[in-house]
Amino acid sequence: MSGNVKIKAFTSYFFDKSSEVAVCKFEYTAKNGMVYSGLTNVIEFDAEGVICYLMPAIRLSSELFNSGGIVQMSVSSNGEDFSNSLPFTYLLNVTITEVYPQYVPVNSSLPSVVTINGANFFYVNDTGLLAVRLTRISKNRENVTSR
Amino acid sequence: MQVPAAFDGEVISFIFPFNVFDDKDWVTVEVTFDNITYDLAETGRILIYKL
Repeated sequence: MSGNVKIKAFTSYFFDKSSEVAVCKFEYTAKNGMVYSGLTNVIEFDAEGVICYLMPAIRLSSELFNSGGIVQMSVSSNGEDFSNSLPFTYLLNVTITEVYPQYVPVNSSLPSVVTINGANFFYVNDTGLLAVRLTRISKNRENVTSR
Repeated sequence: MQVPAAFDGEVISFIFPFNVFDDKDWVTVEVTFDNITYDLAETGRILIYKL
């Protein structure tokens, strides 16, 4: 994930969620032991916790950006005293190289299995969802504008 | 429409719901991991045809 995403921390005893200096901290420990950290401001909050923008991986470490990894996230109402931290995983961007077959019979009596090749696919947990979204675009491909 | 897919560690696969679409429909395919959708662009288009 490359950033520009909101992340919510579920908190208790957060002293002042509306504080202008309330922040989320992201801390990454590189393979060589170097520790990189960054702060983003709390932009929203509710009864459950606070919401910040996720720190873009490239702002923390090129290693994290290139390989993905686990970051420890904590929060603070004053920018100095931080909570315990919990792990958050940055995954590499998913890329797709091929869908096969590209032609599927509409009236087949047998199931047509479609395979998607690419890189950086990942397993979703038991409560997550791995799915494919199908959208009809046109009867005539020449009418389809490039996206 | 959304259909469930499987991941075997290398590729993602799904059973195409051919009865939902018509002959000569072009269909885009997008992968959704945990409600985050990845657009496949040009490589993700499938043409439906009649046997």
